[in-house]
Formats: sequence, structure tokens, C-alpha cells
Amino acid sequence: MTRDDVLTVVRKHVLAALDDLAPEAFDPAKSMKDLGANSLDIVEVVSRSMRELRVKVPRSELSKLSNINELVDLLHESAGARPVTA
Amino acid sequence: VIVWVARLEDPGRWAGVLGPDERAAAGRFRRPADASRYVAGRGILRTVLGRRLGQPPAALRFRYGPKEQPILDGHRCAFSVAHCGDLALIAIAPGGRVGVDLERIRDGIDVEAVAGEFFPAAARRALARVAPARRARAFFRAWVRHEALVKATGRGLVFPADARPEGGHGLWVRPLRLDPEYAAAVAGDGPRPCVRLRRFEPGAEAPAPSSAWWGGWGRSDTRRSPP
Repeated sequence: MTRDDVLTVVRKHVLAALDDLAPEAFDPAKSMKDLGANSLDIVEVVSRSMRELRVKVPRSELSKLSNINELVDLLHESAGARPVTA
Repeated sequence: VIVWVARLEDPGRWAGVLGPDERAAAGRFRRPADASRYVAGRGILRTVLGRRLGQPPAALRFRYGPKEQPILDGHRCAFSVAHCGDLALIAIAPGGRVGVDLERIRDGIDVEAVAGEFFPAAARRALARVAPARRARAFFRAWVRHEALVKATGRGLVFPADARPEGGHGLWVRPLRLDPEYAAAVAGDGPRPCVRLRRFEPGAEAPAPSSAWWGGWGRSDTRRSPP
């Protein structure tokens, strides 16, 4: 799974959570709060992304993130570290 | 604890009382509606605190905690802010700790995924015992209780690394009855919770609408938006 694959998943869930955010306004260099997300929007994006990517990220790591790119990197690293299963 | 209920409207009325850091923060929002609500929220927060402390709203100085939560410089007064859509809650306590949260109850949220990842074990178990038809409403009520407690602890606004069961930290938490469409809760410390709800009405201290700065922000945001 490439980083772009992870970004695509996260982007989809951000746009679903913020349904009045124009797709071209999605900017991974911004925080989700800057895009208009509240705490519940953010945990929903993270939960849905983790579920779709089948990865788990410790909450202590999530609390350090400051923008969407950092979330994508963390999910990508976690997906890469996941044991390959049949 | 007093909890003010306010509508986040007419941002031009409030823009003149904001500090430079708040204007910069408003400029970072991608959606103009979010920036408008932020400006109104900060203006109303300053007005409520200014009334309480006997100071003009624009004279108040905030510093920011490790999780970017605003802290009032030079006063013991504790406060917490929550908003959902154009409705805002501002909880103010004379000291100690306070946290407030607000959400509109809606369908379509992945209750199991969010609760499974982010709720303390006791809250997850309590939610699992609720009948499926009532689970979404129960989820939102549990979520706002959890968030109010997390805000009161100051440990983080979104992802508490070591969330304890409710009642930990020496804090109390109480639901707020506002409107059947919303779930809201306030948390604080002290032996006897005493919570009063009040509706916010702007007074004479709010500057007149249509500030030049607010108009300037609108043009700036348009320029930043992609074509």
C-alpha cells in the first residue's frame, strides 16, 4: 500500500465527515480543525480510516499529530509494519 | 458553574474585539462559515469574560496551553467553550477546572467504530447495553460527557492517552438539557456541582457591525480559495 493509497482513504473520510467542504478545498497540510472538523468529526475520520486500512494506531501517537499529512504518514507506517496475512 | 448558550451569528459585530492571534486563526479556516463562527465565538467569549471581570472584551489577553486551549492571563477564572453548527456553550467557573461539550444528535455516525477506539471501557460497556434503536442518542450523550471530562482535565481535546472511567480525576459531570436535537454536558471539580444555564444576549459593549477588518478578511479568504 502506497502513501497515496492511504491519503485517498483519509481524504474520502474527511470529505464524508465535512459534507460541505468542497473537494478542492481538501488540503492535507492543514489540520482537520482548520478544515472545520470538531473532535467527533476527527475521531470518526480516524476510526473509519483505521478500519478501512485495517491498522491500529495508539492514541498516544494520534495525540501528537498536527495536520492531515502527519496522520497519513502514521497510518502508512502502521500499515507497512502490519504482518502480511493471507 | 454558569453555562452561557449563544448563537454564533453576526461575526462583523465581534471582529473588533479579537486579538491579532485570533484574527490569524480565523484566517486559517478553509470554509468561511467556520471562520465566521470562530470570530463570533471568540467575541462572545471575550464579552462574557469581560462582563464577569469588569473589563472591556478587547482588553483580555489569552495564552495557550499545550493542547492549544485558551487560558486567561492574570485571572483564576476557568472557562471552556464548545460549539456545534451555530450554537455555542461557554462554561465559566470561579476557579478550578471546567469542561463543556456539545453535539447535534444525528444518524450516520459509526457508533461502534468510534466508541470501540476512543471510549473508556466502562463507557463502551454501558453503550453496548443500550437497545440498538436508542444507541445513537446514548452514544452522543456519552460522547459529550467524555469530552467535557477530557476538556476539564486539560489533558487533550481529542485523544486522551490515558482516559479513565467517568468519575476519575476528582471531577463531576452533568448533562445539560438544551434541545432534544442536541447532547451537551459540563464537567468540573468541587464538592457540589451547581450548574446554571443562561442565554447570551449581546449588549452595548459589542462594537457596531461592519468592521473594516471583517470585510478585509472576506476578500483574503476568497483570494486563498482554489479556482
